[in-house]
Amino acid sequence: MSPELYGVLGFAALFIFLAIGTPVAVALLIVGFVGTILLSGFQAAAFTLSGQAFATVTVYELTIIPLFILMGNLASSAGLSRDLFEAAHKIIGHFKGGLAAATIVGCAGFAALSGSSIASAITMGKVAYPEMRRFNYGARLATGSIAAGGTLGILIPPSTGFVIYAVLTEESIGRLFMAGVLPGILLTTMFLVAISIVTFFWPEEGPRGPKFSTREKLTSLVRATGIGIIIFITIGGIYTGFFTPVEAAGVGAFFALVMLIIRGKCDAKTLYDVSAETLKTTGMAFFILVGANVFSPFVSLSHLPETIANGMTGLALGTYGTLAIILLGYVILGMFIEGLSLLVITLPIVFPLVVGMGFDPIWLGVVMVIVLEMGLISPPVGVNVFIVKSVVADVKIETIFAGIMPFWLAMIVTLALIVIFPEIALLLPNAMFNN
Amino acid sequence: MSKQDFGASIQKSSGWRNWVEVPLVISGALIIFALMGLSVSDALLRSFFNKPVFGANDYAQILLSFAVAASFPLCVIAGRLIAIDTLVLMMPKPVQYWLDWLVTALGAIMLGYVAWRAFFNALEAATFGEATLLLQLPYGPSYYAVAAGCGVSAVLVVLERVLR
Repeated sequence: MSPELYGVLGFAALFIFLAIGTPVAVALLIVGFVGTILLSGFQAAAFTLSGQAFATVTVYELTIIPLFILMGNLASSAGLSRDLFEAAHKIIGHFKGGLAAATIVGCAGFAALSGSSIASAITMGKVAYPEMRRFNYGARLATGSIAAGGTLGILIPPSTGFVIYAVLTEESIGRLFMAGVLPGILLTTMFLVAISIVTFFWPEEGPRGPKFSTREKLTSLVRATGIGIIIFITIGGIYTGFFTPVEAAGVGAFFALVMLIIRGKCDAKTLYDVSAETLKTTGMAFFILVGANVFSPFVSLSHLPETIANGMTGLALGTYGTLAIILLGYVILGMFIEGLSLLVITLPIVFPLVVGMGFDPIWLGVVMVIVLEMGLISPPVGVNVFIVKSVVADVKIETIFAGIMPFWLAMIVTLALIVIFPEIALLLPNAMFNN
Repeated sequence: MSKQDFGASIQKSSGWRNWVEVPLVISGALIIFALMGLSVSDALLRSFFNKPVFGANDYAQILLSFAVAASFPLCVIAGRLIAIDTLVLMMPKPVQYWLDWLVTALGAIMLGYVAWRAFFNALEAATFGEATLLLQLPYGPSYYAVAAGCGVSAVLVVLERVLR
C-alpha cells in the first residue's frame, strides 16, 4: 500500500473516531500513532508520541496560552467585560438597534481580553440579552448579535486560534496577532452595518433604548478605561516591540489582577475560581495541541499534502479557484466540526497547499480564522448558537439561527474583502516587521 | 459539537472531585501566577533596566510543563475534552451505551500509554542528564509531571464511566 493510501485511510479513520464521539485529542493521538507505526515502524511512532507530547508542553512561546487565558478570566472577574458594553449602551443605546450594536462593541472589547469565542458569547449573553429584552428587542436580532459578536473572540487578538495556527505552522504569533486587528475592526464594523440594515427594514427588531445624560455617559466611559489600558498595553506593546507576545500576556494578566484588587473583588474564592477556569481551559488547548503534534508527522510521512497539491494543480482552477474550493470546504466542514479541531486536523494538508500557491501564510491564518468563525454560527452545530441558547432558554434554536443570517452574510463580505485586499490583514504585521 | 461530559458523575460525588481538584488547582495556580510574575519581571527589567531575568525562558519552560501536567486531569474532570457527539446522540440508546464504553477505553488506553512513555522518557532523561539550554535545569521532573498528569487523566476517564 502506498503512503498516500495510508494517509487517506488515516483521515477516514479519524472521521470515524470523531463520529463515534471520541475526544478530538484522543482521535488525533490514535491515528497519528498507529499511522506512524504503519509508515515508519513502532520505534519511530513511540518516540514521536512521547517526544511530541513533551515537546509541546515545554515550548516557551506556548506560555502565552495560560497567561492570556488568565488575563481574560481575571478581567472578567473584575467586571471589565461589562464596562465596554455599559459605555456603548449609554452612548449609542438610544439609536435604532443601539443595544445590539453595543453588544457587538462589548464583544469586540471582551474579545481583546479573552481570545475565546465561547467566553465572549456566554459573558455578553448574560449581560446584554436581559437589557435587549427589557427594551423589547426582537429575539432574532438580540440572540443573533450575541452569537455573532462572540465569534470576534478568535479573530481579535489575543486569539487562541492564532496561537495554535502559529505553533502548527511555525509562524510568528506577534505578526498573526497584528494581522487580526484590522480584520477584527472591519468585521465589527460589518456587524454594525448588518444591524443597521436589519433595523432599517424591520424596525421592531431593534427599538430605541433609553437616553442617558452626558454625565452618565462620561462616567461609563471613564470606567471603561480599565479595559482600554489593558488592550493598549498588550496590543500596543506587541506592535511597538516593547513586549514580546508572551511578555504582553504576562503584563496583561498582571494589570487585570491589579484591576481586580482595585475594584475590591480579589478574594480567595475568586482567585481559586479564576485559577481553576484557567487551568481547565489550558488543559483543553494543550490536549488538542499534543494530539495535533502527533498527528501532523503522520500526515507529512504519508505525502498526502503533495499528492493533493498536485491533484488540485491538475484541475486547472487557478489559484483563486482552488482557494475558493478550499474555503467552501471549510465552511461546510465548519458546520459539523468544532473550529480549533478543524484547524488542527486540516492544517497539515491545507497549509503547504495554499502557501505553495503563493499566498501569504499570515494572511492565510486570518482567512482561516474568519472561516472558522463562520462555522461557529452555522447550522446544524454552530457552537456559539448553542452557547447562546444555554443562556437564553426562552428562545428557540431556529430563531437564533435565523438571527445570525445577517451576520453570516457580513462575514462573507468581510472574507471577500480580505481576499481581494490582503493588505487589510498584512498592513500592520508588515509595518511592525519594518519597525 | 459539544464537549464530552467526562467527569460529570465525579462532579456529583463532590468528595472524589474535591480530593483531585483542590490540590491540582492550588498547585497549578501557584505555577501560573509564578509564570505571570516571571514574565512581568523579565519584561520590565529588560525594558527599563536592560537586565532581563537570566534564563527566564528556561524557568518558563519548566513551569509550563508542570502547569499543563496539572491542567490535564482538571480538564477531564470538568468535561472539557472536546468531542463531537451530534451523530452519537442520534443513535439508539444501547449503541450509545457501547460506544461510550469504547470511547472511554480508547481514551484511557491512549492517555495511559502516553503516561507510560513519558515515565520511561523521564528515566532516560535522568540517566542522560537532559536539561534546558541555558540554566541546565533538568527535564526529568517535567517528564515525571507529564507522566503523572496523563496517568491521572486516564484513571479519571475510567472512573467517570464506571461511576456514571
